[in-house]
Amino acid sequence: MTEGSPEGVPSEELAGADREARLEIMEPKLSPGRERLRGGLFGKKEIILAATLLSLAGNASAETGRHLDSYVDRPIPASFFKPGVDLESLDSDEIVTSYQLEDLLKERLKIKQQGDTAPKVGQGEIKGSILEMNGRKIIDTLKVAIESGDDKNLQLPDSLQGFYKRALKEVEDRRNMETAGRALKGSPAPLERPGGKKRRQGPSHRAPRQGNAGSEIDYLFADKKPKPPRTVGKPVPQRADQEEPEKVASR
Amino acid sequence: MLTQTKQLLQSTGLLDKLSASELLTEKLGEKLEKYIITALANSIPDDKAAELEEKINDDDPKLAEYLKSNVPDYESILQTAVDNFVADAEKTL
Repeated sequence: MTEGSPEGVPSEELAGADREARLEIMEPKLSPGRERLRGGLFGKKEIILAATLLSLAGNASAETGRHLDSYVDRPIPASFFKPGVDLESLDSDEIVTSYQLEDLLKERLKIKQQGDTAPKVGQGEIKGSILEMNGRKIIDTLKVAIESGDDKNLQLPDSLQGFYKRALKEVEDRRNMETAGRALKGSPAPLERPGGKKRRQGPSHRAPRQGNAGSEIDYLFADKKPKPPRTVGKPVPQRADQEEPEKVASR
Repeated sequence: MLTQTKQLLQSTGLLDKLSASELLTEKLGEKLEKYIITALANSIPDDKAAELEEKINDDDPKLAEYLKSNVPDYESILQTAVDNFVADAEKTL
């Protein structure tokens, strides 16, 4: 027996009905004695559908993969980062999405840890593309939160802390570049932001690396810590009125 | 409709192909859920059915892992359920 073939319906009945009504006729066949089990599983459909989505993402055909890609290119809902909410404790739709994301991150890392550098077509590549898009979008969303000050209320799971640090650095770098730009145009720009770090100077400052969430997640689930950012030139002595980096990072 | 149901539905390409209205999308989502859950209910071995019911009733947080470990050919059953749903929907609509 094939799972889920429609029961026989006279074609003349189908012809006149509209599409929504015709769909009612589609009914997957249930094995005898499994009614209660199916009812129970329906009560857990959020979990089951999320698990299904993850499983199928790994086995997607090229066509399915394209649709998945087009889906994940959409913005992550802002409520994903609802301020003051413990993401781990909620079970709303958005939070299920966050679990899916975490699972994908872990899955991706597992592929890397196993040394599978050539994953099967439609598996690693699709997962990789979901990850990188989502990673970029997480960072962009966090940047908005940081710039508006909402990040103070965020309670991010540990697995997203790496993204947060990176978003913080990108916001900081952008502010520094804006300050430098204003100075070049001759507009009055303070050398130091109020309560902030001293503006970076010199032509050899490296721009932040963009668009490679995969490298960021490499250490999210591993013991190793990320290397500190590279600096160019001699270290600048810290002034007494400068904010300490730890304070910036803990915002 | 659950976010994950909508994601699955979008992954099939049916919504674009059928230019589905909001109501039709909703109905398709309900049917897709039914196909997947029915396939799982049919596929759990007889000797595991009671244990699975217990886990459902106890709100076991590891339900998804349990299904993955105890439903033989878990991923292919899910894939087949989705494929059958798509084929049936195309035939019916």
